[in-house]
Amino acid sequence: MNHLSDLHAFAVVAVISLVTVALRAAPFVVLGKLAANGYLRYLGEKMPTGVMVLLVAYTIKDLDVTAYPYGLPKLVSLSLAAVMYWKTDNALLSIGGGVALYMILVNGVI
Amino acid sequence: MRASPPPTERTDQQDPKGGAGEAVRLTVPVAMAYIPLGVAFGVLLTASGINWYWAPLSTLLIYAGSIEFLAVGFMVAGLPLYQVAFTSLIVNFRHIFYGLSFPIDRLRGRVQKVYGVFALTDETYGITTAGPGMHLTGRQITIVQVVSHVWWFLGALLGALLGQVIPESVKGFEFALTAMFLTLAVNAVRTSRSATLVLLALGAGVIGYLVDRYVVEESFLIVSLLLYVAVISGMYQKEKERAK
Repeated sequence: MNHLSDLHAFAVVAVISLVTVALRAAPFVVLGKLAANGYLRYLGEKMPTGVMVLLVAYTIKDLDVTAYPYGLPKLVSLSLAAVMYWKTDNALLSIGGGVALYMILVNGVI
Repeated sequence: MRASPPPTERTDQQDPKGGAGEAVRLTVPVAMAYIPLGVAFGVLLTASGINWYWAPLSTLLIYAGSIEFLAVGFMVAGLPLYQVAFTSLIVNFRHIFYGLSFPIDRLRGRVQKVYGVFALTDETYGITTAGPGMHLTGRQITIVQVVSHVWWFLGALLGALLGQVIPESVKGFEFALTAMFLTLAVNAVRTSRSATLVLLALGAGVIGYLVDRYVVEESFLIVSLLLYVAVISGMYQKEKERAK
């Protein structure tokens, strides 16, 4: 069942590729001017925290906490992954553990 | 610390083979992350109903981990392209700084240089600017980049093929995306050590959520990211004025 359009998929991949390459090439094109720009440096320092928090939020924004199972599989698995990562510093182990628990919960338990 | 001889500037001339083995060894930790993540990406993509070949194609054409996971959601939601462009700009913004310390002058010829910039990932940047990979020759840098790219491609290809044989009734692969961003968020918080930034992001997220839900569909990322950037821009202005 491949119902999603190849054209849109290609457009998405092309746009992301162009933007990413433009960002990577920017410092070579404007030769070091970026480093001297205090505002860009400040953005570079402050952006990752907020961007990553918002990306986590983006992936769980459609969670329904008002009806059974009250979004619990996601919230519980997310907490497990967070604690695992905080304690072990092992990204693969934590992602694997979180996904395994989540899949057990949504396929087997609920 | 052990005394070590000063690092000598190596060139392709001194070492005609360019130490290919050393370069490949440096990609082993990269492979340990890229292959499982690539598999998760491939499975997620096919489980979302997108034609399987977009997983390997995407790794060849984009080569920038997290945004490719997001691309799956964009394809499923049919997100407008201006929002795709804007989100990639914000999510990959950090890449604008990598070129400042990447040793591009060691790369010879146009093709090698262009590929060097195209494949300037977090990992390439990390390997070539710190630790044992700091003194690689141009040829070795290209090997590190190509081999890492191959790991990512193979992971995605394997995942895309696996995704075809996993029954459709099995749900939950999309959680890999949430968990991956979570680990990146933990890293970012550890670096910035700022609860203020987390709270600002959550505030921007709440507003983005309300706009997404009640005003414009699929606008969460653009609204919340713009708000967050606007607020930290305001903070920068204030700090600058105070410094005067």
